[in-house]
Amino acid sequence: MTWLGRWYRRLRGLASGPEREREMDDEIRFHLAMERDALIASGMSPREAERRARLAFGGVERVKEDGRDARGGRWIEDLARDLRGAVRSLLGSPGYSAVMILSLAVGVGASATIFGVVNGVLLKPLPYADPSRLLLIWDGLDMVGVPEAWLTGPEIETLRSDASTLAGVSVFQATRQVVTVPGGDPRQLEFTLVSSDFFDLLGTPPALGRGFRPDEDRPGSPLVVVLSHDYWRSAFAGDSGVIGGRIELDDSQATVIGVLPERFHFATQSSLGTASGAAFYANLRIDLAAEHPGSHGFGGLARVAPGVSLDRARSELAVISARLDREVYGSRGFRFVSIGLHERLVREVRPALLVVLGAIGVLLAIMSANLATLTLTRFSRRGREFAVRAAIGAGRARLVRQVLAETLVCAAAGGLLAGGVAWLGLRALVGAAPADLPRLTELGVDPVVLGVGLLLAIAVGVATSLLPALGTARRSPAMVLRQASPAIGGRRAPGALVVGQVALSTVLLATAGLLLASLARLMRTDPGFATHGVLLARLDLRPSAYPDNARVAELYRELTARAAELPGVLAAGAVSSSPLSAATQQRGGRFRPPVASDDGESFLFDAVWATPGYLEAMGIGLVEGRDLAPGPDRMEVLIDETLARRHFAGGSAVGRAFYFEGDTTRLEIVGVTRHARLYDLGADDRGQVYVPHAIMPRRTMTLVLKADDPSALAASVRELVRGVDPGQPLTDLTTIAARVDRSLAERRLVLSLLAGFALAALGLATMGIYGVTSSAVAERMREMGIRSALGADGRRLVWTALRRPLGLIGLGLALGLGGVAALSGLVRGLLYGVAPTDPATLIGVVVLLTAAGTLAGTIPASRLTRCDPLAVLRAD
Amino acid sequence: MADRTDLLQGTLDLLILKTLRAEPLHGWGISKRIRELSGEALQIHQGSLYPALYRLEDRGWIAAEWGVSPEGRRAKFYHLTPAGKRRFEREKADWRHFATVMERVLESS
Repeated sequence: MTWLGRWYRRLRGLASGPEREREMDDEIRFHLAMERDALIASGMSPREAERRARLAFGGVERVKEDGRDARGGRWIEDLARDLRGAVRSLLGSPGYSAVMILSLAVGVGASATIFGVVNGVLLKPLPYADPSRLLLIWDGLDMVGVPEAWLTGPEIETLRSDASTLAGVSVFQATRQVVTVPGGDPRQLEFTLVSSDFFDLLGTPPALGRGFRPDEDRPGSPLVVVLSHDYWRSAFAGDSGVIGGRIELDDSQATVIGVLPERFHFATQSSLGTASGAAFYANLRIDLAAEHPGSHGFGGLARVAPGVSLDRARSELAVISARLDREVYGSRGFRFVSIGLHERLVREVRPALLVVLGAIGVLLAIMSANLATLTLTRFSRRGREFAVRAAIGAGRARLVRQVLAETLVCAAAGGLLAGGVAWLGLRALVGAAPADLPRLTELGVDPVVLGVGLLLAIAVGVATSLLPALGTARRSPAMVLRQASPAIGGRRAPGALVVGQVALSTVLLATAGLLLASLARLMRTDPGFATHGVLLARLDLRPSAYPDNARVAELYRELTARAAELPGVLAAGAVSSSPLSAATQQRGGRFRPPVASDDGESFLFDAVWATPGYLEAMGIGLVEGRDLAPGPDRMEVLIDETLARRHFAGGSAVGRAFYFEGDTTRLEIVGVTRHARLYDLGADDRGQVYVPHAIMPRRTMTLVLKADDPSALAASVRELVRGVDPGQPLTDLTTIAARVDRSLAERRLVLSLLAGFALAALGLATMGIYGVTSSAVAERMREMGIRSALGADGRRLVWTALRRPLGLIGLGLALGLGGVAALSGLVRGLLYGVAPTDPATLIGVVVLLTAAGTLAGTIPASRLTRCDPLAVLRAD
Repeated sequence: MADRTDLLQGTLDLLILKTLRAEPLHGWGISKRIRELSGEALQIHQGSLYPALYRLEDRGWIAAEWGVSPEGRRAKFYHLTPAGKRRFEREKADWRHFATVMERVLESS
């Protein structure tokens, strides 16, 4: 505790500095008086006594100085003095201080924000026990063009029995069903069927109630569900009495047995744009070994056994793969693909985040360069002040210390503001981002990020001011004082800084430009369906009201027929998975009659259940053949051009047969459609098969209405559904244009961030060019004055002053374009239809930067033409 | 020895602690007492007493209050803190140990 007391005394002493000085004076005066009196008492004359007392005491000032040192905490007092001086000096030049502090606040604040997102989404470990040992296992079916297919039931049983390096293999299967909670409307929801060991494998016990019992995934077990925290809160208002309650899934009853912890979230992929995450988890009650060997329907999640390296687990998987390839896949190159859960989760979103992170780094570098230029200019202005102080005895260390104090004050102020900026930035970002950004709820300005930001501010500040400070302190005071204009040399440094700024700005502007071009192209692209003029209205039928297929089929037939007659509707249909709805379903299929074993003829496709008229309403074109025909028993399908090209190259698909995997029912192909991009405007995906809704009715369908003004139809569609069945709610009502817009949210978010950074970079670089030109002009004012007096043409003088800045810009542009080429691999993944070295974009960037730079240089340079030669020459 | 005006720093500290062990004193009193106790053999530069006092105060071994001297002057009186008392015992022991060792070394043949 003594050290604590000592610090307390020191701080108290600091607070009462002048008082302590007075006390010291008093004490010494007292001592001298006592000594003098003692000497007088011994018979000395007062004068002599006074002299002897002082002599015995020693030098008073020396003793006081030693006393101050001895008291400890001396450096605190010095620091306080330096800081006070710094604040005074900064207040003396408010412009400089404001720019320093604001630059730091914005630069560091933005970095902290982005780092917060990247940290939350990419870096933080998943909320499972030992998440690095969790692997997702897929079937690599490259021979049929599917690099990651779900596993089959028998494969999972094989992994469970044969893979000794895996502590467990859990099964999950995402599904959608119409869910009815007591007192709520039926709603189709995504949930996940899992094997009973799922939560044990992840190491996440429920927060409330219990998890699955080991025997609950056998066939015939009662259906039980564990709710996600979010769903529990939204559907049950967080009522803990929900345990033991019932919910209805399609037409079966399930019992709620548990609620998961708040941060639990399980997903196998995520992007900044698409939804993921299950409302609840139900027990998968099947015998995996008895599942069809060609039916790839199960997600595999494995935990590597303790003490086993990932590499060893992977090599064992490779051995098992080779055996299965021989025994089951006819040696056509099957293999298990394993990927870390976290790696897979962030795979889609990583490139965007890395580009943004890179951009923030670039912006920070530009900002530092600007601060350095600023500081350098400031020091060159203060050269005389420093020289005078050095001449009257201020040590170099003292000068540097004072500069550091100024920097620290700036950095601290900037850092504090940066905290505010980061907080606002993160809130704005969370607000702007699609609500389903993975782990969005986990984002927050955490103290670590802020601490890092503050340190960054100080580091940048110190680095940018220390070099010029050292340079200034090193210069001989006599030399500086002798100079007519107190300009400090070091012109090379700002020159290099400007080149760097221009180069980095080029990279940022080019990246932003490329993203903008991509977005524009993406919005103009033809995704295979109409991107406007379509209304979408989803219905989740209540199983209790529509228990059998015939009634479901009849309802949708009637709804579409009536909808087509609504005024303003040009065409109407219904579909199970509308484009960009994230509700597609995959099925296995084949064009040859099924055989008992896997003959390699099966393929995975996106199954689309549709009514006649859907293609026209959605604007999906027919390449060949005809649309589905009305009627309850039409055993026919449509396939898309992707499947037709792959399987019927050179011939026509129309008239050929199609079978669902594991089914012998022959369905005739009556037409070939354009490929509609169901997932992403920018990417083709699996082949598609359109199945008549009438032969395989689904309860959840989306009414699709083509109209010139779709949003005006909303009311009449509600009216229509109410007219057919008053008890049936509409789940989702939107337009295809809104859907398209939403699907671009991620790209737009990244673009707007980058555009912001690029603009900031442009502004900073322009300021840098202005600064350099203006100080060059100031330095050469005298020379120019003489030239002007001798009759030089004003415009030629401007050109002379501009030559250097223009050279710097040119060099910077060249370096920047090189950087763009070098980084093309990083951005390629984010671009659509634009090469990373798109000439139009790059030329635009060059023109923009040159124009901005020339303008920034011309303003100070034009001062030369206005200056009066006599005034300039007289100034010194 | 009689001429020594400079003392080892630690020695001065020890002397101050020893002096204050008996009673609280002001600065001049301490310097006078040291002169008396050592029979004028130890002559310290009076001024150098004060930095030593401030250092000991900073360490928390002595503390001070302002009071009035018997002569009626305002003076700063120093006293030992409990930590200072412990420090004095330790320094005394150290010094004795040091002295014994030196003695042994010097007396050895």
